[in-house]
Amino acid sequence: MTERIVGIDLGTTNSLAATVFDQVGPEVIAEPGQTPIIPSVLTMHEGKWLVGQEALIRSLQNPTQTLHSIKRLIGRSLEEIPAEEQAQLPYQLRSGERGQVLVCLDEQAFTPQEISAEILKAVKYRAEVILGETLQKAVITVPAYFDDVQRQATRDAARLAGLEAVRILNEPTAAAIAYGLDERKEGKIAVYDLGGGTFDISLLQLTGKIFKVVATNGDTRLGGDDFDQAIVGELTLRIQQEFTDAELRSPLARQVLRQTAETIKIGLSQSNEIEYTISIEDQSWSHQGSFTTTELQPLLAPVIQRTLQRCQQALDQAGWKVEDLDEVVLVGGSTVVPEVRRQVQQFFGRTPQVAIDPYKVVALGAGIQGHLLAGGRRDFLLLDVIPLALGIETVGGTFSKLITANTTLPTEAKELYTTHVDNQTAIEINIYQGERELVRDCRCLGRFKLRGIPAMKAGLPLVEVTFRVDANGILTVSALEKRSQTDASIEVIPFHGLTQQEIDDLLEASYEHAIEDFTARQLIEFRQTAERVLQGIEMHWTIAEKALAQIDCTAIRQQMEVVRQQMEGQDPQVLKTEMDRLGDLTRSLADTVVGQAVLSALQDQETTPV
Amino acid sequence: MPFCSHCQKPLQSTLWCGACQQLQSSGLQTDYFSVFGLPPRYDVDLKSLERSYHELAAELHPDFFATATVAERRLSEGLSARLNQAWQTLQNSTARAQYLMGVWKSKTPTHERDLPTGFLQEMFALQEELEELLEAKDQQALATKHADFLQRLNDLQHNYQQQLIELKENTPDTTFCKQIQQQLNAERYLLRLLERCSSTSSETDL
Amino acid sequence: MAYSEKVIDHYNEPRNVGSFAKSDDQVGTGLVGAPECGDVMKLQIKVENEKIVDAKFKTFGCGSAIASSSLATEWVKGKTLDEALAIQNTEIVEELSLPPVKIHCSVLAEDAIKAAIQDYRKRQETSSESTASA
Repeated sequence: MTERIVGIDLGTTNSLAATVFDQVGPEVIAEPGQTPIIPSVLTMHEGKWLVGQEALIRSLQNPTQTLHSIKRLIGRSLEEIPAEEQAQLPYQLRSGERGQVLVCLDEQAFTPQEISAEILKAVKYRAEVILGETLQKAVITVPAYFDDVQRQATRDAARLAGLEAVRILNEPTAAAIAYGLDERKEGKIAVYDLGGGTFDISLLQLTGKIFKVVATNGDTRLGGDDFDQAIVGELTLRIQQEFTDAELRSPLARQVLRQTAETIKIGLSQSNEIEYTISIEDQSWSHQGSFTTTELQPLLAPVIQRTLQRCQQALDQAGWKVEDLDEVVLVGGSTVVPEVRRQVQQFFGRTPQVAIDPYKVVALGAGIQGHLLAGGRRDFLLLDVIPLALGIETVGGTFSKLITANTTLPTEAKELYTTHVDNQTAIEINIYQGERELVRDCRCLGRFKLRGIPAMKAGLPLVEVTFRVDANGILTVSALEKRSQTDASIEVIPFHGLTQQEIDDLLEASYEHAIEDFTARQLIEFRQTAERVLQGIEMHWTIAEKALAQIDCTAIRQQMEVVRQQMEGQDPQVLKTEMDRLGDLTRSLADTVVGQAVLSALQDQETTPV
Repeated sequence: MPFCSHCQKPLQSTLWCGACQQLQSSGLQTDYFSVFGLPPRYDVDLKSLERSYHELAAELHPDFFATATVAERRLSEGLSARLNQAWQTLQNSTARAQYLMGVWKSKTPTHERDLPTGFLQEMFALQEELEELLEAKDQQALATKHADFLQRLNDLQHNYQQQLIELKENTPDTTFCKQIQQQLNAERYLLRLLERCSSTSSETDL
Repeated sequence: MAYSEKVIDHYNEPRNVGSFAKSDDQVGTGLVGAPECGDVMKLQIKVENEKIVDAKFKTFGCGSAIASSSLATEWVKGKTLDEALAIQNTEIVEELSLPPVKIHCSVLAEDAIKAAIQDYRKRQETSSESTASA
């Protein structure tokens, strides 16, 4: 196998990485006994990003400066995000130059790509520390229903994080790999994937080594967040009934309500009733109440109903009936909600599978796919589909499909274009993706300008435009003038994504920080190593006192103190030097300890009855 | 019979050489039947077609070329796209018939827009009738129409499929091609009528 | 492709929708279809002294087909039969900025004009024959 390619589940609420370990097989990447999950939450602290748990802890002190659910914004324009959803976010949004959404933080504005890149960096760095190797390539998962713009944006985020997204993999498909390979299943399976902010349903046919997606459907703006919002709505009503003057629209209040809602949702996954108390720091009231599963049910039902409609659409697209299915697999954090399981079970008429932890299964599948891409195995093949039709605008703003939804990837479509005016050298094409009849209901992927068409009489040039969609569901367009066999050049004007120039600029800016970032990472790594070394010495100190001369013991003690001081410092190189010095001083101790260990092992063997 | 551009051995599929495992760039241009090493005939064993599709996909898919050179990866992408399109077309009974007409087009004169006599007049009359029913929102009459059209479509499809299966020669004569093409053309008009029956509004399909 | 106001107008409010009595000797009827998509188009012209004085159409098809036939009826009005015969589908494509997947709609419109003129001329022949024989 060549270079390692890890799998990263970049989630709305949580992110994590997995890889295939020699001998062990696929595993999530975590410190022993620790969670692999990094919450997809960020904040700025003294000009530096804090990601994950640290940011989550600060979110209540600093609600307007805490970013969450960024995945709901990636590859979108501000006007596509409904006003009520914008109002629910504690942070501010504004519109960028081409209408793309920007997130305001500390008087700065960031694209969702930049913010997602920070989450990816956090995942990457931690994986690097644990694996003890640098990572450059990854398989990154996205909702199956993500369109081209959202996929490109995710890939750009990876680039900004210093990762090449070798493959953008669909989340339900990733889950199917982990699940299908684990059990070596055959037949028709449905993967129901309800995450924090997105829903996907994928139907797969498993035949031998082939994992073929037959149909996929979903909603990129539907998930556990909506459960929380429904509970927030109910809590708001309750509080307002009790305290008419309660101010619940402030960012802090929203943050408190959101977190209480989440606690209630999680609590009711384990019991039938949960008590809660809500108070907001700068307000005098305090509200106490309880929530039961019976009260929760009607709040969740409309959201779950929407997912089941999508399931029916997918079945229709595949030409399958519920009875045709051999298995239904649940994926995503929101499927632990009992009401979701109950309704899914009712819809599909069978008990859904939850063999693999729904929090980990997507990352595991991505890790396995990464292993395959790196050349580590080739005993399975994933054939995925394009989730939404791709086409061009025609007269009256109607959408003319060139590639239909659920076409197996990679695929391509060719169209011949010509000029309408003598000596015309450029043609413009607007490309859209979606399932509706009118382009205004579809997403504009961009405007493609074909240039460099040889000057000829109108109608003479034959420009063959090829629309290629790769295995990642990402479109590229190329053009050839058939008469002269010259390539027409294509200028792509993305609508909501980043231009090449913008990516380059951001990358350049990040190189400036790269040294700083590298220092920070090294410092973390060295501190962890130092911690382990110091603990090791303490553990064996009794041996040291017996084996070593007094003067050596004192020298070690002094050096340990120096290392401790440097662990508080900011220079990894100084820490490293002091640790090396400590290493030199303890070499004879290490030898003695190893000797003792061998000796005791030998004694153990002697005393063990044969 | 096509040969491998590397080892010169005969090729089973025009996309990939089973003997020396090399991708065949010439496969980007070949017809869908030779992608699977099949003669251009209508009767295809779908089970074995699917098996060949899976076997070839497992050799050509770009996921197995992630560490290869850029040129090789591109080629694998192009060939996989070709393979997917070939499978998509040949596994569908109507698309396969239409594709065959395209293959024969180079050898026989075309009848691209030919229809049975009086068919177009009938279609126009039926469309006008439908328009009235749609405007009146007469669901019951619409359902009857839908059933009629469906029956007619099934009969039509069955008829040309039978003709194609019973065809002996590899390149049929003009009369035969004309007959099939007329039916394939008529099929599209019938599909259009069916579509309109099930559309709930009287608005014309955009 | 940005569509001109005029085109969107043709699409939203097609001109000259309807029919003339087929039996009218002054009328020529063209009925054509596009097997690519199953569209059907009927275009009729009313002729006085070799000049098209009015035109009507009825199209069952997509927006591009409707816009193409609407435009065709506007264009033929006031033209002589020979002038109308000279209308090319590429002119319709240009006027409506039709993309390649919709070019067959313009072909349909051109064919409909030709078929209507042919029908009119045939009727004239037969009617003049019948007058001659009478």
